[in-house]
Amino acid sequence: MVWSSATVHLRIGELTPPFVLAYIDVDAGPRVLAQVVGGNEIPAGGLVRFTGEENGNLTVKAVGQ
Amino acid sequence: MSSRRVGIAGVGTSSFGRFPEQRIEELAWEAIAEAIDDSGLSVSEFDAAFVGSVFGPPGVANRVLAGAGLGGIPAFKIEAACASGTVALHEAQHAVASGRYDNVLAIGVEQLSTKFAGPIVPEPGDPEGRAGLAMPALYALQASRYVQQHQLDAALLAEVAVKNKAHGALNPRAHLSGTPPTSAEVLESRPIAGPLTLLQCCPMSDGAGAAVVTTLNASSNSHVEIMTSQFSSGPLWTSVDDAPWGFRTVASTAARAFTETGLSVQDVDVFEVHDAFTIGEILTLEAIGVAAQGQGAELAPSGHTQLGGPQPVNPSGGLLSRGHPLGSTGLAQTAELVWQLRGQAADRQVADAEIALLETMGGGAAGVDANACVIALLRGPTR
Repeated sequence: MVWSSATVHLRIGELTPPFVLAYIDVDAGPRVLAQVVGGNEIPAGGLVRFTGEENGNLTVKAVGQ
Repeated sequence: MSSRRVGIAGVGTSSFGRFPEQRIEELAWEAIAEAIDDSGLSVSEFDAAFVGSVFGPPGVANRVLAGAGLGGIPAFKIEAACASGTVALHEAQHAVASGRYDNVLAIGVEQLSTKFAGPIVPEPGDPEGRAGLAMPALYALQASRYVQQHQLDAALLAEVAVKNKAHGALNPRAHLSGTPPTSAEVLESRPIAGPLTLLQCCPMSDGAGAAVVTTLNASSNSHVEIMTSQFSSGPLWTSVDDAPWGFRTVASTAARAFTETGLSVQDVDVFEVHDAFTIGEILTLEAIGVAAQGQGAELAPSGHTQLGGPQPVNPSGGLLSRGHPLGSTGLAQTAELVWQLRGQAADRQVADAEIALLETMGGGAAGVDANACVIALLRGPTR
């Protein structure tokens, strides 16, 4: 479940803006940071599924997309 | 262990802004000279110095002391992210309270203009750094959560910037001391991350601050007492509870400060708190107890935290306007509060200020709630 997400408009290292980051509260697990696939923020409480890893970062996608 | 009462006898700062043509030592010398002159002590009377800096060059503590005529005394460099200068003050306070030293300089110095063209780049080896979670993004995630959780209009966040930039316009040493922006101008400035726009983010600044910490002379009309100084390093930030990043660390540190002094948050007349981003001031004031959770965003527009209100916050302009040269910030905040408590703050003076609260919270290490948080309560001289 998404704790929060935000679009970043800054160039950070090799990352080209805009990109979307989210904190995800894993069911019965920790809070982890992930990059959101698809380029849109997901409201707090929204459900996501993990889609893999990109450059060492977890990636998630909104459920239903 | 017995403890001596500790006071601040003198403060000084440089101007704040972008000064790439200067040596970092020069910024510190300006602040040190003003603080020593303000204290009435002579250079030969100092026993030690604690120097806060994050990106200063190796040996920065010895460099600034040697050039200030203070070479030879024990020099301690402290790095605690944005709280580096405040931790320097904290260590100076405890060194005097314990009797280890009698007269100590707390110094903060930073020169960001020669280090970064854009935002501070997070450590690429951390998961946060790899993902691009620079500090504006970390705070943006808190802001986004905050407005959704409490069903608020994100435009409320801009009111903190309007307030602090109006305060900063009264501070000739502030980095951004020009005409303050309107709420619309804040909201229409360039998007940075989530709901945060450019004018809701502190500028990247250079500058220095210094304080002379010594045994309290209670009859002096210039000594400001450090009633307590509390320091925490944050635990891991997990999903155990729903608290925003840094919130638990600030709240627990503030609770210790109030318990030790017997004061409550209502007793505080003026605050300098860590407003690197607008949401930072809101969450900090909720953690300290100035407002309940979800109500901190109303403090600025209601007038509560404005100059002339019941509890002005960041009369210096805060980090949003004075600037945020990381290691210097805590001593810049200290200087402002000392001037306020002495009645020397000119056009931005808080009337009849007797008790002040200083708070700085530094962060950035992977997964940690806050690298460091210092909260000090200061009491002004009898006037």
